[in-house]
Amino acid sequence: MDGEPQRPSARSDRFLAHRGLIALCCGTAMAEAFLLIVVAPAARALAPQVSALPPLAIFHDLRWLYSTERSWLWFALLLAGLLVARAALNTALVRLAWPAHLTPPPLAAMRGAIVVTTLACLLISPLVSLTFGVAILPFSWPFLALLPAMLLIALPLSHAGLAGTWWRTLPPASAACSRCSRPPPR
Amino acid sequence: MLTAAAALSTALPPPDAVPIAGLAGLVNARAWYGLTAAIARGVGQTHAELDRPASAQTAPAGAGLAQTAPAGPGLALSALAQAGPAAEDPAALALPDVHRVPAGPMALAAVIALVIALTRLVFFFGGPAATANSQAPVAWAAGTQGPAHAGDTAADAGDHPVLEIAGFGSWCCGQDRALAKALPGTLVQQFSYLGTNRRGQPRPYGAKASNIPLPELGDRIAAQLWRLHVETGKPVDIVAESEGTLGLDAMLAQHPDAPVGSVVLLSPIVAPGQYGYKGTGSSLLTRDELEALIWFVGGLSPFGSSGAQTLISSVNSVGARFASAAAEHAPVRMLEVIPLADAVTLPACPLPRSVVVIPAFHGELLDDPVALRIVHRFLTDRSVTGVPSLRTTAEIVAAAATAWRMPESAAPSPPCKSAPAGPAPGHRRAR
Repeated sequence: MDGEPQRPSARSDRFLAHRGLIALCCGTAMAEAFLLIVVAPAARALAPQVSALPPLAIFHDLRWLYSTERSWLWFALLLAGLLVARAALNTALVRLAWPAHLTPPPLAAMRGAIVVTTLACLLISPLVSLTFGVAILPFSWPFLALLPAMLLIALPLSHAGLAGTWWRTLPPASAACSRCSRPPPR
Repeated sequence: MLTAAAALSTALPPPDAVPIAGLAGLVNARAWYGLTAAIARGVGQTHAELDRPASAQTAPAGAGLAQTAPAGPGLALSALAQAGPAAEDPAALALPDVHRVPAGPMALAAVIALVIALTRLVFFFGGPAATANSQAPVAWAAGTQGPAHAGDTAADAGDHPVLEIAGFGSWCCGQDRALAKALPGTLVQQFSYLGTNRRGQPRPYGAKASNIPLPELGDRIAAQLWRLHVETGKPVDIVAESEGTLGLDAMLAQHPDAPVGSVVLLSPIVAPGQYGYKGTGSSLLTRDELEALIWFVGGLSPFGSSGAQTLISSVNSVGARFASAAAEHAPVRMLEVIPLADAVTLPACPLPRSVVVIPAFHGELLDDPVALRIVHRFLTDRSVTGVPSLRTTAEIVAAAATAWRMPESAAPSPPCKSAPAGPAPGHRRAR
């Protein structure tokens, strides 16, 4: 411990201390909202999803990707850009959210994040197609089926990429309720 | 939270979307913090136990991210088993279980299997029988057989004959139909997706017959409408549901002079074709993926793997154009009865006054007593008043649902750009 800088303890690691995380999540959502108000005001409701957890954020990204017709070259470039940008943003958010008393993940983790983002895109893509179908022929049955399917698929993917062993774990319940699984005070 | 943010963003003036997005971003940050903390403590603890003696200092957790897995599942599990009491942080007791098996992919596979099974079950219990009563005798109108004539029935409901256009997956024909019962003494003829026979009677059809292109559907509706008009000498009132409302749009667009009286739209398809694919460039991917999805879901349904492919392709091509043209030739009297469930696909704008919202699901209003009472009142020139709170609820739901729909650059017109201050349902307006 002698040569290492002193790290805050676990007990002092409170949410509001993660200012970078808060700034990035809020900043990207506000930036997208501002942009959409200018160019596509009817779509401004999608803006908060840009900084959501990976499955929901990828659902957001793919809907934008599918929303316009482009040449194959442009599509490939956009898809590659989307994968890299999403993986980079997720990696940054993980680092900023990492508990202060633990060493944050290395930037090399972004390679894994790209793989995870690609996998999530493949899994969520049919749901985006269904959303597209609902936009063509809008009636509620497929939409009502889409939402639970989306949530069910998002659940086991919610922690994808956060740790190398994510594929051998399920999302911890303590993520939803940080106090739920702590032992009662003695 | 994202849904609530969408509802607020849509309901409030556009500039308010920025602070709302900021607040939602704060919630996102909290979600990232909670999830990452739970995982990080688990990873940190695992590696602390793997790499060091139990008395060692706090673990460098980040190393876990760069690795694809701990040294082996056995080691990881044993480390986890020893973890709890030695943890510095009580939350470390809530380590995510690292399983020997790939729990994540298995959970995903289970979810996908569950979704497929539920889809099959929904079609099995809720879907129509594909060939139900396709050979049933043709029923012309309530309590009658054979060609209809103007004086056949007492004009208790309206004095116009009524053409009933059921939606996708419907079948024809039966005498025991709820609409005919709800309009006693009124000539109610069921529309046939297969057209009429030489005597002008609707031809029996099964559930798969409704998968036809919109232009063809519009022409068949017009043909049957004209025939009914010629035989009765009166304008024909129309009660259309779901796909039938698309067909009505097609008919009004292609045959604007059709002798239409009053129109009731049940579960109308509002703003069809807002998105579409042209079949070039990347849209080929969109089209092929959507067709594959329709093929797959269709295979689970009683409609077969072709599903609604022809209909959807047609809506993709001409749906928006027909809806726009039909709005220009809108009938004198029109009522739209929207089931509350359909609010999730309504455009996020104030509902026109011709809309009544009732608590129901899509495509079930031709058998819904509340809807049929409304239809009866409307066709007998009485005013129709819906529940105001349901209209408000529908508008809120529509706004909230925008979070999970395809992004729209502008609100669709119609109906959003049409004047909401039309006549109240039940009152005639001058052409």
